[in-house]
Amino acid sequence: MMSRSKTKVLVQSNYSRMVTGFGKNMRNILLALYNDPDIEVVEAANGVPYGRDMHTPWESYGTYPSDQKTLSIIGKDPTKKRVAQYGFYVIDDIVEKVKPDVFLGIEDVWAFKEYEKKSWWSKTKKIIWTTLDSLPILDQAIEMEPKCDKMLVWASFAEKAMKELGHETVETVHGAVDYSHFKPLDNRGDLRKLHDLQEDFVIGFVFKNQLRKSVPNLLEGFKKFKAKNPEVSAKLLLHTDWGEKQHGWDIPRYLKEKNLEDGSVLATYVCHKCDDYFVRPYFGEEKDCSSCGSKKSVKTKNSGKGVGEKELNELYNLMDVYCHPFTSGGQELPIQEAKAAGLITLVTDYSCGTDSAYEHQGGLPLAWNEYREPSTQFIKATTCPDSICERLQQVYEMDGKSKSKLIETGKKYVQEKFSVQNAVEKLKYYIKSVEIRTKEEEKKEDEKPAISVEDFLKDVPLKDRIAVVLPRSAGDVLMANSLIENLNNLYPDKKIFFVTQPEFYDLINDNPFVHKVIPYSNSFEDLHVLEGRGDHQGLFDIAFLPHCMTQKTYSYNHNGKDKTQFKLK
Amino acid sequence: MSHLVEVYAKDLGVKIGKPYFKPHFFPILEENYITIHNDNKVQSKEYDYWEEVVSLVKKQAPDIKFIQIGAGKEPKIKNVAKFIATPSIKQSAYIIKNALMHVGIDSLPVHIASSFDKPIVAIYAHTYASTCRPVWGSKKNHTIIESHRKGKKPSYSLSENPKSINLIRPEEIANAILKRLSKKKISRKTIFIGDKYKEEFVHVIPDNKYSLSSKKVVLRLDLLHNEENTLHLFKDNQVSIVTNKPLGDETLSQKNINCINYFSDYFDEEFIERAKKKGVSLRLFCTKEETLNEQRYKFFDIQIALIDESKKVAEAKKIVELPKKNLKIKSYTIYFKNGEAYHSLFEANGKENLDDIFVDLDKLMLYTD
Repeated sequence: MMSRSKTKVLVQSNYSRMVTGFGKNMRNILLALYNDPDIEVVEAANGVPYGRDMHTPWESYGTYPSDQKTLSIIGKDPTKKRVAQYGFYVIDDIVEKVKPDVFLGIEDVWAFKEYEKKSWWSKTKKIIWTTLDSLPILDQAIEMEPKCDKMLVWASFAEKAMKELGHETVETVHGAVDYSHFKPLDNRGDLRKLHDLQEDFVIGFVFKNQLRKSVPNLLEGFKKFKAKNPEVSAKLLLHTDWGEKQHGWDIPRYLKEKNLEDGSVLATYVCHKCDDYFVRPYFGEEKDCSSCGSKKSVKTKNSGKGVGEKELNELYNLMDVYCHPFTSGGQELPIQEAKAAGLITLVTDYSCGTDSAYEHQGGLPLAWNEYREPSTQFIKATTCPDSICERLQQVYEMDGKSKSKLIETGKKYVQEKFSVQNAVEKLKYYIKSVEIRTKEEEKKEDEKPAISVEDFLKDVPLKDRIAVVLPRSAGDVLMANSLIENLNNLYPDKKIFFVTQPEFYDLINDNPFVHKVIPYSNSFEDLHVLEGRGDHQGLFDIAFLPHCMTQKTYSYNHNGKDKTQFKLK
Repeated sequence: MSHLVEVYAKDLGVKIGKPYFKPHFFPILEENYITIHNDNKVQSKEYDYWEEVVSLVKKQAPDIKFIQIGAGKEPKIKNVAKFIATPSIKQSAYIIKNALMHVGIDSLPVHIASSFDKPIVAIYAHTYASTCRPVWGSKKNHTIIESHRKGKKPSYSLSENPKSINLIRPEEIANAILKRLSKKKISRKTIFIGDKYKEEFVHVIPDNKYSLSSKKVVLRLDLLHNEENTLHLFKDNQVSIVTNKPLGDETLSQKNINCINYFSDYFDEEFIERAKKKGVSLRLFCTKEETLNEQRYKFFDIQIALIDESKKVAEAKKIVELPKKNLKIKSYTIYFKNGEAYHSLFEANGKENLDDIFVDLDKLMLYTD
C-alpha cells in the first residue's frame, strides 16, 4: 500500500488503453505520474463498466454504470446515456472510495456538466484539462472555469480566447502524446524506391472523420500547383479511409470532378491478413494481396485496420512536405508527428493550428475563410486552395539550407512543447500548487415538466379525477389491478385513471373500474404537477404514486419483518 | 411482512382484492403438464439449473411434461417437452390456467398462476420472498423456496456475480414438485456446482492427434507442450490456447485462434511481439504476485491478471468438502487424454490427485446419489 503522505490524484478521462487522443494522453500521463514518488495516481476510466478489473499497475475504476437498474434507466434516455458515458452516475462512488486530494478531469468540457452540484466537488481540489477548438468559446467552458480550481486547455488559441473573456488563470498544456516513434529515417531513399516514388515531389495528409471536409480544397490547391509546375512529378498521398462512400465521403468522385484521375493522388493500402502496406493510386477496395495471396483482404487504411506507428513513420518519410488543412481541432496529432518525422508542415492558422503553423514552430501558415457550423454557430475554417498552392510552391523552391533550418526548428519545437515530459511536469506543478477556491453558489433551475394528457382527461371534471401512477413492471401492475375495485368503492363518485407504460396495458385493461389507461411519461413523477400548487390547478383531484416507495426509492422492505395492525385482505 | 401489494394497498388506503385479468385462448394439445418459466431480463433472478430439475423430476414422474412459457427471448430449457412462446401474456395465462402446476422464478407468471389458484413452486434470492411471493389463492398451494444466500441479506441487485439464486439445489426444487405430484422423493444430494458448469469446452491435452470438428477447443499446451499434434485442429474448430511457453510461428499463423492464454512469471517479449504482429488475441496471466506490477508496467498495453494456482486450490478447498465415498462428477466440459474422453481433469489424470478436482472446480457439478 502506498502511504497517504503522497498526493492522491484521481484522473478521469478515456480509458488508458483506448486508442483515441484522450486515451493515448491518459496512458502517457498515468505511466509518468505512477513513477512519481510524491503522487499516488488512480484511474477513473470512461468507456469501461464499473467493477471490471482493468489490470492496471495503479488502482483503477470504470465509470460506466454496471448495475441493471441504472442501465435500464439510461437505456431508455439518450441524454442520460450520454452523461453516463462520461461517468456521471458512477463518479460519486469512485470519489467516495478513493477520497482523492486532487480530481483531474481530462475530457471535452461538457463531460463535467453538473459535477459542481456533487457533494465532493467543493471539498476536493479539481483541475479540468479540456480541449476547446472554436470561436466563440463554448458557454459550458466559460461557466465551468470559475467552478474548478484550475482550467487547462490543450491549445494556446483557447487560452487566449478565455483570457479575453476575463478568465485570466486559464493556461495551456498540450496533450501528452508520445512522438518518439516519429523521426527521419536513414533508409528514406530505399523506402521511396520501394514504393516507386524516388522521382516525385510527395505531399502528404494524414486524417480521418471531419477532416475529410478539407479534401476538395486540398485537391484544388494541389491541382493548381501541378498546373503551375507541369515539369514536376507531384504526388498527393491521402492517408485515410477511401471506402466510406456511404457516409458521404466520396474521394474518388472528387478526383473525377477535379480531373485528377491521372495517378497523381495516392492512397495507403493495408492487407487485413498479413498487415503488409503499400502506397498506390486508388484502385478500389477489397483487392487481393500480392504479398500473402489472400483474397479481397487489401483495403485502404480504415478505423478497423490501420498501420502501426512504425509504419506510419515510414509513410511520413515518403513525403517531401506535410499539408494539414483543417476546420478546427483540439491538437491535430499528425502535424506534430510530421514535424518529428522531419517534414515542413503547412497548417491552417486557426484553432490549434496557431500552435503549429508559423516559422518559429517549423511550419508555414495556410490562409483560410470563415464559415459557420449550422447548429452551434461556431466559426470553422475553410482553407484557401490558392494559399495551399502558394505554400507548396514555396517549399518546392526552398533552398536546402532554409529547408533544413525549418525542419530542425519544427523537430525541436515538438520536443520542447509537445513532449509527454513537458505535459507531465506542468501537471505536477498544478497538482501540487493550485489552491482550492471557495465554494461556488449553486443555481437551481425550476423544472416544469410539460404534460399533454388533456385529451385523456377532458371527459371528466378535474374534481372527479383520481390517478394511480405505476410505470412498471408487469407483476406490480397486476397487483395494483387487484386494488382498483376497492378504490372505486372508496371513491364511488370519481373516475380512476391508471398511468403505466403501454407494454403493461394488457395487465390492467380488463379491470372495469379503471376509467382510462394513460401512457406514462416522466412528467407523472411530480405530485405538484399532478395535484396542483399555487396558480396551477393540477390535473387530478387525487394522484397516487405508489411506486415512489418501491421503485424510485427502496423504502418498504424492512427485512420482511414489519407488521400492520389492520387486515389488508 | 411488507409485501409489495400491501405497500400499494396502504398507499391507496384500500384492501387487497382480486385482479381482473382474462386469459386469451391458445391452442394447446398437451394435458398433464407443468408450466415452467425462467427469464434473463433480470440476471439475478435467472436460475441456471432448470435442466437438472426437469431431468430429476422426470426420473420419478416420466409421464409429466414440462412446457416452458415466455415471450420467446428467454433462454431455452433444453429438456422440456415444448417451449411455447406467445405474443401476448394473456395467451401464456391460458396455458398456465390449464396446467397441473406452475414452476418458476419470481416473475409475472407466478402471480398469474396465483390468481387462478394453481399449485406453485417458486424460487427467490435477490429479494425476500415475503415481499413478492404469490398474493392470491390458497397459501397451501404455494411452495416458496428461498436461497440461503450463504447467510447474507438479499442484494436487491438486478445483477449478481455469482448469483445467489444458483445456491438453490436442483433436488430441492425437484422434490418440491414431486411432493405436489405425490411422487417419491429423490435421494440425490448436490455438493457443489461451479460457475462454468454449463460451458461446453473440449480441452485437448495433445498426447495424440485427436480428431474433432466444430467444437470450442481449449489446447492445453501448459499440460503437454506438443504443437505438432495440434495443427490439424485449427481447420474446423474455434481454438483457445493455454500455454506457459512461447509458441512457434507455425501455430501462431493458424486460422481460428480464438485467443492465447499465456501463463508466466516473466513474459517473453519476443513472443508477445510475434503474436501481436500476427494479430492474435493474447491474454497474459502472471503466476507470481511479486512480479505482477513490474510485468504490468512493462507490458502496459496488454491486461495482465494474477493467477496463483496453489492459492486457487487452497481457496477451493475452503469452499467444498469432498465426501468420503460415493462422489459423482458431472460436467459439460470434456478432456481428451490418452486417447480417451473424460469429464474432468481429475478423471483424465487417473483420479490420482484430488487437487485436480479443485483446479477444475468451476466447471464441475459434484454430488452423491
